[in-house]
Amino acid sequence: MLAITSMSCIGPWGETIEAFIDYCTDSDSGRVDPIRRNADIAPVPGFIESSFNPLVYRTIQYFVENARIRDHAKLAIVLGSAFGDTATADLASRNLLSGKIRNPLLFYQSVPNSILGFAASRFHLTEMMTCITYNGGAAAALFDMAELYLSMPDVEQVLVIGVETQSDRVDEMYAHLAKDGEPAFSHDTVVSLLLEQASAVQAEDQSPLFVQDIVRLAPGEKSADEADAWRCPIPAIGNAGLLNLVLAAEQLRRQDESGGGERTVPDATFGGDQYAITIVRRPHLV
Amino acid sequence: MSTRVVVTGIGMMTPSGFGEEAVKRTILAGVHQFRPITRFDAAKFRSGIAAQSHYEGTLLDLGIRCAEEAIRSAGSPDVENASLVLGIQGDYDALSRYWEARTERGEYESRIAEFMPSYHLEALSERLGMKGRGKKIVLNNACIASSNAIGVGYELIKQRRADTVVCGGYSLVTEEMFAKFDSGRAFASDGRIRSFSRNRTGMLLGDGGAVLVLESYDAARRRQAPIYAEMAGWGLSCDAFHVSQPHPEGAGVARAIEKALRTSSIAKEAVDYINAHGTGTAYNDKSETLGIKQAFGEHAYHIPISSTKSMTGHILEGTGAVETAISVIAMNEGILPPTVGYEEPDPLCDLDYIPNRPRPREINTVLNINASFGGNNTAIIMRKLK
Repeated sequence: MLAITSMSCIGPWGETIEAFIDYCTDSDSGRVDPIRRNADIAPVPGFIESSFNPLVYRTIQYFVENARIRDHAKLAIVLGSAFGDTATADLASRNLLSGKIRNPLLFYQSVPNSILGFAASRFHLTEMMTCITYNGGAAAALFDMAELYLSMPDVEQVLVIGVETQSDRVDEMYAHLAKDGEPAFSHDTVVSLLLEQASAVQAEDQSPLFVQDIVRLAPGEKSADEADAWRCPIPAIGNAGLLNLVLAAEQLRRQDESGGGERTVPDATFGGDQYAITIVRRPHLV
Repeated sequence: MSTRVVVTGIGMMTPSGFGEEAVKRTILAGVHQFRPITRFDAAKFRSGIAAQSHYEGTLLDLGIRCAEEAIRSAGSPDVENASLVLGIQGDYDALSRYWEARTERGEYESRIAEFMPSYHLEALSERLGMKGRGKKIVLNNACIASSNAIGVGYELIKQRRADTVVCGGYSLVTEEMFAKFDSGRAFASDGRIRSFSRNRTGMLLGDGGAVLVLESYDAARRRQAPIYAEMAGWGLSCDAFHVSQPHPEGAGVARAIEKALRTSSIAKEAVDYINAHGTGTAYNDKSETLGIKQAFGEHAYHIPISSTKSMTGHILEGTGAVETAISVIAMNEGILPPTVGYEEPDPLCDLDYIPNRPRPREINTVLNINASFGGNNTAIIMRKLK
């Protein structure tokens, strides 16, 4: 069983989970500017063409600077994105179309490994780094990889990162690809969860939460807990499930025991399937 | 008792064509496949050479064909409940067509979906009839993507999360990727990859793909499947050094090899052949050599090593799977593929690189090394089933 020991959530709301919660509250009450879908994020040298890489770097930096990583040589990172670095891909493609073919920055910026390599060199991270992609269902896909890597002998913690950026092409593609009928838009968002085996959670980890269950539901199939499912009001393409999870986890942390000990969140794929992910305060071990 | 992982199927394409026979005819014979590019107008680039195949289909169709061939060669594996793990980049031609249609006609080009690796995963899964609850994973971490995919496939079986995994990757030379490497001044100036040779000037791209069927030994034995090799272990590491340059002492390569040896529980001396990443760039070949020396010590001087990229070109996301498959075929044929185009010994690369001519040899254990941007390194060990 996976334990979530720390989270980070950066987007148009800013860089803190508190700001994200406030943004969700304001969004529910219509006080959020729906046009604002970009994040203000500090640039990273050499990665100037897109917000994708600065978002990834900033979230890793957060975990390093907040001493959440116990051993830099035993931390694996799984970087996920449904659409990837669209700004870089599109710039290179459009440059080629218009005859502009000399931008060496796009050479290394075109693959997601590069920013992980940059972060690894800054923070001396030597364990496994893997980049995955998916058609929605980000949380479920990242948890799958984390479980696999945490079962390997050299890994103590896994940082899973889901990153998406604002892009008109993504909005257009999503409108053609998505089968769940819910309108959604791309946003600059990066959501990260620091995970470890439940059995390895240490005393200094404050209020860890546990991933009790991940159930894949076919289109039209409803989870028993569907009515109680926690949904983030921000319709962010690609990261919706992860944002649901952060919102539910934070609310679970803020409530006392009387508010219940578990939450189930939806994590939809573009194809219409959906995962129901249940997180709990205390694991029901069998 | 620990689960053993075996390779029961291989479907592949190299620049010389589909199938194992093409590998035996060219790569095991030391015949390179570099030629002037005809797929697009390369006149505007610094180089116009690649190991371009005669394949004219789409990237997705290449993946389907390799996967179907892998399953066919595996006999009748339980495909319905199998997991699928791919290491690929999307189809950049689809992205080009999208922008062409958007810019010139203001239209939406629906083939843009093929630019998403996850679309390939879904399409292959549907085409192959993977209707069960097997894991579906797609990695897009550049030049280690498909070797990482094979490693993930190994873990799924080893950790008893799957009995059968279809895994691999593929890539074609596209104008977009060619432009990026050209702008990075990565290409060999003389139109040949001369891995580990003092006069090496860079890399070249190539077409190809390989899909393997991995199964637990028990599952394979139950159905009397053909067994090409046992996957003994693997390793994945990060240099923690640079965005695009490898670690100067090959520290990450050494760590990946050491992990692979450890998970395989085999002695260093048991490795009979190394298929190196060997891109033919000054940085890679030197640091990879140092990494091999660090991992193997003095024994490094006794292991035959080659870069089959010197014949196939760099197949990017597909390179790990293709070179793993080539290594398995070489092992079973008892022929070490050479490093062609090798001309001058380099004092910084002083190991046995099997220069220019294939070498017949009894081979029981092979190691395939790959590396990518970001300083990621993989090592995969395959051996004959004993």
